[in-house]
Amino acid sequence: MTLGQRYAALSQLHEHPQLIAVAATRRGRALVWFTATLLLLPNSMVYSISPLLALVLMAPHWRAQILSVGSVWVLHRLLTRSGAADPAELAWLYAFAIALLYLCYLAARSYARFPRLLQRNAQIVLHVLVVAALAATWLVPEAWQSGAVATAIFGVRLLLPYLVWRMGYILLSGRRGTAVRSSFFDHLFYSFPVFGGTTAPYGKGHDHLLRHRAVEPEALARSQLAGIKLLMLVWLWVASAEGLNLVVFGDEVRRGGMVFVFGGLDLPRLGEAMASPGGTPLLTRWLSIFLELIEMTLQLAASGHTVIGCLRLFGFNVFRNTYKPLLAQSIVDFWNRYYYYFKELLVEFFFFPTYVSAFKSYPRLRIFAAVMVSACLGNVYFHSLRDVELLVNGGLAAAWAQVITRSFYAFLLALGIFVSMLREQGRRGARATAEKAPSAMHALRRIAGVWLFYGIIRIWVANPTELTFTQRTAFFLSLFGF
Amino acid sequence: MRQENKRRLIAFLETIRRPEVALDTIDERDGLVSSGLIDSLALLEIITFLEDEFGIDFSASGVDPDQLGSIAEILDLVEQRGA
Repeated sequence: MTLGQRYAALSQLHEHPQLIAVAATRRGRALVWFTATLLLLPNSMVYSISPLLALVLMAPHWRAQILSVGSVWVLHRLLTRSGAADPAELAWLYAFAIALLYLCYLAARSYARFPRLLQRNAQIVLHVLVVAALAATWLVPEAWQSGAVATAIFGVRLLLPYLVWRMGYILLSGRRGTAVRSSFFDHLFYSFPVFGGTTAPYGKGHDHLLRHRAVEPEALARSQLAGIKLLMLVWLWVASAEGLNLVVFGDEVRRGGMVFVFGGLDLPRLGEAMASPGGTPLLTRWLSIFLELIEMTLQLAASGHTVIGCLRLFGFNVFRNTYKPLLAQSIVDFWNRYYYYFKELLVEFFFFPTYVSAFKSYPRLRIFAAVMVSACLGNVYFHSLRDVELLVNGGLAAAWAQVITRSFYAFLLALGIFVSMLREQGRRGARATAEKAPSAMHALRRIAGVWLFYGIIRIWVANPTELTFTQRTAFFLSLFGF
Repeated sequence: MRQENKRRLIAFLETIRRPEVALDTIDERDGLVSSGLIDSLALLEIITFLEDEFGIDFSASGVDPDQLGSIAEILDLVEQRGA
């Protein structure tokens, strides 16, 4: 077997018929559990994933109920880490969270009975209610903010921004008519996902998870092997990110009680370079842009692979969150590969609704409007809702500065995606078949162009958030000698 | 009717497919994006095609990308919601 064949066999281990056959046996399932536990050992998630995986392996048909038990633990951790400690207060908050989801589930089941206007605008109504509830918490006079009122304010500010997109997916199931055939557990387990994730739901909602649910033993084994492959990749990406920290940024890396120090190149991160552009050589400023892009991609791939790896172990063989974005040859392809579930959220809740309802007679304007509403407005709205407490508590000036920088970034992103979409449209179809395949050099030039675009626009969202729009723009201009 | 719809759909897919993947290499139930026949962006063109050719009004029902996953699923959608 050549080296290339060995690599292909390893990278496609989840498609190997003998491995699948072994993983589908009782001993194979035990081996899957052991390997997954071993791979997750450095992560605290192992304490919740490992016992639940054992239960799912024994009773895969009960996975929604089993994972819902994990959801209660996730909810408990979310509340206690955010400062809730009093047992009575916790009980109210559990009840509030579960009642909120249950109401949403009931609404989804009754969707067909809603008036037509409400059916068409259910997502807008949900967001109006959420924003109104959040706004109301800041209008309550301070003198009233004690006891039950304080608990309610805490619950609304913590839970609504976290749950709003999950509730959106529950309502989408209602609109698509699939909610009536689902149980509450089918929605609870991804609303507080034990497999992890962010405010953007990885694996989307019930419909997508149901579509990718492995039922037969062979499909389950394939899904679990694919999960193990992702967890193996996590090790590779974490090691690469730590290598970057050690060698390029000169950071200390702590592993297993040991501290590694290399010194190395000791280059500044983008945020440090932006804070003092005058004190950073031009070449280093340019390097910091690309290093930031590489570091962010490694971190996102490692965290996303952990989440999707666990989902696949539980038998939901969904797409990866990050799939080789640094090899993308167009801006729109990078956007699709970098943070898949955030992109999907923007597409399902902003892009498609705009695309199918506005400017139908003007194809380019139709795409432009949908891209601007999703990648720009939706993007800014998502982050503003996620960080609403920080924005409000930080004061008007700081909030405005953050929204402006995010908006500028999102506008550039949307513009880039729109132009890239139009260019990609021209590259499709039978007529394109006649064109000769791009050369390796041409492909490299395209990849470099994508890196340059995303590297540069990250200037307006890179940490630290305290950097002003003016500082970021001055840094951008300094790259060209201004 | 389904055969005729399929013929029209295939003729359309021929105009938006990736140059390196031939249409006759995929099965009716294969994922159009996952098989590499089209990129996810081409879904927009499928939506426009379904609106124009079959009179499907997505503004009323919404778009479910999973319903546009394969030739068979698109044909099912046309049968359910076509004008």
